[in-house]
Amino acid sequence: MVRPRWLTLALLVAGTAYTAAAWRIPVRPIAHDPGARVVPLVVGILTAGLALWELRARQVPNGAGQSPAEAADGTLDGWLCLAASAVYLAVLRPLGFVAATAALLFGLGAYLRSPAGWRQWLGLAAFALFTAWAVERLFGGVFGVPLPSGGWGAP
Amino acid sequence: MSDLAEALRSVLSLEVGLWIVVGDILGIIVGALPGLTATMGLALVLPLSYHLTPTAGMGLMLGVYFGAVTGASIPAILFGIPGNPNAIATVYDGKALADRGEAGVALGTAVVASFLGGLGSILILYVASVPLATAALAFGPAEYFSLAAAALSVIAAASGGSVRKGVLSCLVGVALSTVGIDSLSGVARYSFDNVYLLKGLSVIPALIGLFGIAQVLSDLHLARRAPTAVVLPKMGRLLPPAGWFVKNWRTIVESLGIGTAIGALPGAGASVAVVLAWERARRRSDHPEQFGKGRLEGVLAPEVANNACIGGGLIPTLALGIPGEAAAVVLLAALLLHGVVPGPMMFGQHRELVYAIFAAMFLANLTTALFQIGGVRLFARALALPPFALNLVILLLSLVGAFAIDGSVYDAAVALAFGALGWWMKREGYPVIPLVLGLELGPILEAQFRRAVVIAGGNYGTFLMRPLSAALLLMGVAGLVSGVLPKRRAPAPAGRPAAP
Repeated sequence: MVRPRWLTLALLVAGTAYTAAAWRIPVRPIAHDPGARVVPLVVGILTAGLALWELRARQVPNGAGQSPAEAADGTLDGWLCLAASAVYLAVLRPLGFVAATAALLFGLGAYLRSPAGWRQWLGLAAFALFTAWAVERLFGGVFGVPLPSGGWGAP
Repeated sequence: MSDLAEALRSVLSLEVGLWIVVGDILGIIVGALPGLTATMGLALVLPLSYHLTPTAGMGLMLGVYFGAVTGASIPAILFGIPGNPNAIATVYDGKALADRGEAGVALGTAVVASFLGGLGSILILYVASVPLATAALAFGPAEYFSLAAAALSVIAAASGGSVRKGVLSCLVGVALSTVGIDSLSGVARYSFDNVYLLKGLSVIPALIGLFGIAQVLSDLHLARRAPTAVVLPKMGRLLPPAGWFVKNWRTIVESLGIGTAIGALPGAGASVAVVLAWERARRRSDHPEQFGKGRLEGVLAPEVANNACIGGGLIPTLALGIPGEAAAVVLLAALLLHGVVPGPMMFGQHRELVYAIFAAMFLANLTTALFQIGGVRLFARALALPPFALNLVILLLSLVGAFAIDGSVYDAAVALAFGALGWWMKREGYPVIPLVLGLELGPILEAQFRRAVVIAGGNYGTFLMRPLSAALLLMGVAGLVSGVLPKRRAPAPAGRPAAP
């Protein structure tokens, strides 16, 4: 299976944009100092150049042994997990740590395990609630880290 | 030596000892779970260490480090699955011994070998780091720039796969390190008037994202699987006679030398050291043909070497402030969290902490061995943890850990963004370690480069005119060139994983 090259393409674009932005970095006159834009310029040009070289290079199969279906499955799971985590961070303060965490664990757990029957659903809910409570106790109780308590006031 | 004795006394306090033990247990569990690396374990406990005293925090981290490296031998021997790349060569003979009903003796040998490797490398670290740090006091900005540049070049070239991708990964790390206010001129760069970006991208959420969240995103599709049914093979006796270790002292010393030297070199890594140590033991043996078929020396050599890499890797980290591999970056970040800057000055300014680190390493090495011997059956059960629950707990600890550093959702979001980047890099065959080192060493590289040019009155040739600086730059170029040259792979027994 040949690896995708979206990241290399993204690096080419990002390297070019980074270089262009480097030109706009103001330089304050300090005697003999090459200035704050030299390293970004060199790094940006090298990044864009190497990314272009990599894009033009011959593709070698990676031999990872993953079928296209498995790879697609992994991609979907990864994106869903990222989206769920982003939503989790957005609702962490308003909902509070325990409620937001239990919801994240329950939601992702249900997606990954597809529970069948009320026993499995109950087990998943217990796992979500217990883990959220245990992590809150570990950080809040043992290490004294104030985790968001949400609209309910309690942790 | 009196400093060390004093430090040992401080480490033997209830608080520090407790966190070392907690670290050991967590580390052995991380090591026993295939796919979870010592670096990931370290990244997960990094935010916790911030809330402890510096000595207790480092004790926790070192416990995890020793535990994870040693614990990886459990699945390698019992099930033929290396817990992480450090145990790749342990599989060669360890699994064959387990298949013959001698799993106990293989595990016992692995634990004693790991202890000896760890102990030897701690002694070498103790002996070598102080003179190296003293010598490094004479380094100027040019030497520091060249040292950082050489380390990055060698790591970019040696991180596996395409050298171009290694260098690109490293450049991305350096580029990201330029975000925020320039420390020399006070100019804001790439911050887009955002108050968070003005502070720059913190290395710690990046480490948590790249090693914790990226791992979860990569393994999530495996989480649908049912838990592994753990059927332990017959253990038999637990240790070979003590005389057997004495008889094999040359293998122990050679593997210790290989592990410590390779650990101290940037980019080489324990996975290279273990294969070289195994191969060296095979060549030295009177029965090389039995290697890979259940020879106990085939477990001894790699297990001495992988733990020896720990002390070796800390030599440049503590003495020069230049980490040579990912786990060392996390340990360096832990020191920075406590306001301690590793490098030659640390040996003067935080002398008691340096010796406490040596003492904590000794204690972590010892307690890891005791816990693993005592709890091998229990730790092997870690494989029975449901994969979905394990992945979700790692994801949660990563997000909460990043949040806990500063009580900021922004840090957790940065960790998530780096997790996505690390996941995507893995999918397209980009190594992550050069990025981490680029992010960590980028500010050193830039600041020392500019300071050297200012001191030299604008003369860019200063890097080549100073002998040590020129030698280090040459080493970096040689490292890059060696990465491009075709590699000769160490042989692996049929049906076993090849050298990385």
